[in-house]
Amino acid sequence: MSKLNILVLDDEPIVGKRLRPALEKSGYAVDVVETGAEAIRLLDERAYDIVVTDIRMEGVDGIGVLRHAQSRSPRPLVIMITGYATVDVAREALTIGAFDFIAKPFKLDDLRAVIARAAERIAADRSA
Amino acid sequence: MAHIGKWLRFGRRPSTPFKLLFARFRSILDNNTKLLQLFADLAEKQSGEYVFDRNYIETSVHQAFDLVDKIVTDLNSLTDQKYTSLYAVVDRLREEVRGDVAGQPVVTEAEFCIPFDQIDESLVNLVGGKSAHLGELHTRLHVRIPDGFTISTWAFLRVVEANHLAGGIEEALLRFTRGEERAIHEIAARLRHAKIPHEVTMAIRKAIARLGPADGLSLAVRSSALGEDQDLSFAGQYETVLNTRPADVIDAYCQVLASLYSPHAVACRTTSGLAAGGLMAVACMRMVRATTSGVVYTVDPNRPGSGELILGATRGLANRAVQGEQSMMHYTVSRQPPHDVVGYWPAASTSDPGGQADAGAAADATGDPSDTRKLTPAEIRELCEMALRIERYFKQPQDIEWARDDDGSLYLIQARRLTVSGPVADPRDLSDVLDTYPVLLRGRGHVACRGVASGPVVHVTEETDLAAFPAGGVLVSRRASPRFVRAMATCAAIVTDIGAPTGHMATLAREFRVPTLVDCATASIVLTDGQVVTVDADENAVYAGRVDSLITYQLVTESGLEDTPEYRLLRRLLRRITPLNLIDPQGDYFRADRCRTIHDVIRFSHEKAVEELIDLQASGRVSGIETARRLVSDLPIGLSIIDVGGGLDTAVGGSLSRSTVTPDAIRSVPMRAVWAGLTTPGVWSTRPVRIDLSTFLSSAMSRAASDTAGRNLAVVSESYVHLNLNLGYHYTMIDAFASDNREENYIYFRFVGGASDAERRARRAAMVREIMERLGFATRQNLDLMVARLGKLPRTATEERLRIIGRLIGFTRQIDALMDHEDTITRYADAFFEGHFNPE
Repeated sequence: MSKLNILVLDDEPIVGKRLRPALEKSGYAVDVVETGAEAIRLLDERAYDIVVTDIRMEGVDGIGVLRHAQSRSPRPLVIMITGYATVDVAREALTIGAFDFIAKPFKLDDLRAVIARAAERIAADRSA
Repeated sequence: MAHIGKWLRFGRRPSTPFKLLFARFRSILDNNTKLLQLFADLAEKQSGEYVFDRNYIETSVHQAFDLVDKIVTDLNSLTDQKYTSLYAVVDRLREEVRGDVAGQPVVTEAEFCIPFDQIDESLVNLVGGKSAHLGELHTRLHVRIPDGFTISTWAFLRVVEANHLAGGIEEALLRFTRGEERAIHEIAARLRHAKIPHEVTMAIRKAIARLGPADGLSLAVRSSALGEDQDLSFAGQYETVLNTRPADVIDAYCQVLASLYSPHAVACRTTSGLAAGGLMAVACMRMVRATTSGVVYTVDPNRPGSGELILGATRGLANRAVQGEQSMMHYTVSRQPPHDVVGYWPAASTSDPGGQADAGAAADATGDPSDTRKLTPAEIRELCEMALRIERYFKQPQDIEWARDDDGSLYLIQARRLTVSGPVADPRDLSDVLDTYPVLLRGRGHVACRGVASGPVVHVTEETDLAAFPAGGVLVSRRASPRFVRAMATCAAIVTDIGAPTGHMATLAREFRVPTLVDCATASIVLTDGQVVTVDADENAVYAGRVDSLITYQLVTESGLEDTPEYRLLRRLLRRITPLNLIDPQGDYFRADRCRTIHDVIRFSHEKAVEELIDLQASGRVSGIETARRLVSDLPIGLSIIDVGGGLDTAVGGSLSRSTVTPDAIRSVPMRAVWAGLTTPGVWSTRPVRIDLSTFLSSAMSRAASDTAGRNLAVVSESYVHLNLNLGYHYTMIDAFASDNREENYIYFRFVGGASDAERRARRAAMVREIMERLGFATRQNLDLMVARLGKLPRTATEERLRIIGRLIGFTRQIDALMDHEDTITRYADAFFEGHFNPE
């Protein structure tokens, strides 16, 4: 089975720094970007299975990236990262089609669990 | 205002219902607990187990100040506005924290010259990146560095001010953005010839004089600008002046300052997001009279997976810019002890560019300065151990410059992150590799400090001599003890069965950046002594064997999380929050204006609130106290109980007077548990407490002689108890809630004071703390004060612990005078758990 491709987007560098090794050690291929514009560019260039994105950013925000991801085919599953203040926006994102959300600060294990569920869904969809 | 209050009190002030005042008191306690939890949450984020951002930090700080405000308001309400000066203290703290969060390098008035013995990372705004870095290595890891001091950024600001340069700098930077370079050169020239203010010159001369006699003293004057540290490659941007005699230091200082303003440096700062104007500190360090010197690369930059490091050495003082590195002889050495030499290349002699001739012979024949005697195995080991100790701390490959003095001492000159560009194993394959190693522990316990390390397991018990702990060993132990600090500079990792990421040992481990896992339950069983393991504290896993791919991966991709702005901000804030300066409530310094941190403020408030509560009862200023009943029992404690709802069943006891109650009338769940503990057979000795005259006298002097009658007070309700006990000079407080809703349950236990001298009191507090930690409490100790907290346990578990605390209170009465050695701490803790309540 080929490794899943994950795109991580957060305007705070520390998030990508912490997530990359954790996800790579779990066997995923990871790209990290810091702006919505870059994320969109990469989404157009490559096929990602999962996108993990912060919600609130300047310029193109997480919702913008979510919508763009949904125009891609195959459609990546999108996981939203929220801060305290944006949980409502996160719930809204679910109605637009995000796979799940997780609130900062979070334990890495918790994110790994969400990604694992996303991976299961992808595997199930592909065998269907 | 306070005056009027007093007068009214003296007169016929109407008494406030006790319940109201007690509610304020409870509010202070509750907010105190919430704040301490917030501190612990913040501290825990340093472990690396969480992903957090600035927003989290800012929100937490906001919450913290909200809680502090409430506490101060409640305290003043409770005490009739006795402590309004606390408002100004909190406001000042708020401003300081705001400055930290805003990320402005706040340089407030400070020393002009700071010796390296006093420099650590916390002073970075004052001493610049390079000095802070060196100072940290010196004070934290005890790495030897040449004597010296740093001329601070505060001095720089004084120089700029005295020479009226601020306006000129601003204008030059503006013109530079328009493409004009000349303005920058002009500013540099003005700085080069600046007049150094008298007080700065005096400070520099004094600092030089402290280094020893001027005769023969030679200094290296190096830049240490803000931002000039590990991550930013300012190498070569700023000036270094070597071999400076004391008389020439001021001139060299100006030279280095002037190097702040070159077009390249300004551009570098701008692209790195630093203020274009820059802030420069300058380090002055004694030049090492080097017999040999050189470099260490802790990883071969081209073959990071080889498990080898590279040593370069030359005679005299290596100056890479001048001599280049071809003139050094090179070794490749195994990173694993005993650091065997794998390869050796002699120095290329200048008379033989091909390097084919035997270097030793060439030296004899031509006196070629590029030839040196070979390094001995002991020297190689010493170099490797120092270099790897530094690498272990930063978790990144290091480029280290060293020099050995003519007296044989090894000095660190500089340590920088080494950029490694060699081929890295495709990360996609790493997980496959990991799958081939047996997992000994995964997801057990908690990460106290992140990182990856490998080494042989070394089991540690109470008896182990930690001074002899082998470098690079993985410390495995049942309990997490602060004693491990003795091994922290050199051990590879720590794994314990019991302990908390907010505990004392964990806090120390984070200061030393040792990869640490705690509370793993079975670590000491699963990890066998001598077994080589790899601890991945980033992922909370331990593998059998040395997983080279993982270690290489970590080294090469390590992003220096602990040195990111967010972690640095967190550390800076925690320094304003958690250190406790106000320790002794009876001491002269226990005053509102002495509060330096939030912890000081809440400690002060808590103490004063407790005092007030006890005084209230005695003073008659409140109504409702007459409902307090005296507990009649076999125990010689004069205890008054106030029932605020369902805590006593006064129908029990029959025709006893309205002012007394017997133990079987107690309905309060937590109070019953404590009482059961206090009355455990054997716990409360009726023997006179053994105490000798001198300790009795010293204790009588240290505590205000006060009437202890009436100071034993319990406030109870059905699920709640607040108990203040003053027994045999011990001050004990228990505040606990035990109901069927575990989310609401908690125990707060405070223990302080006691007969005998300060040392014994501190030992007793340490013993109580150890007992509480074994019971799973989060604890804090300051000398003879111990505070322990635990929450969210089911009712029965909460009651069980309260019973044990009851026993403990009785137990500690016995042992004061007996605690005359450090080892009594653990011995008596053991005795307590074994039920030996009367140890000899």
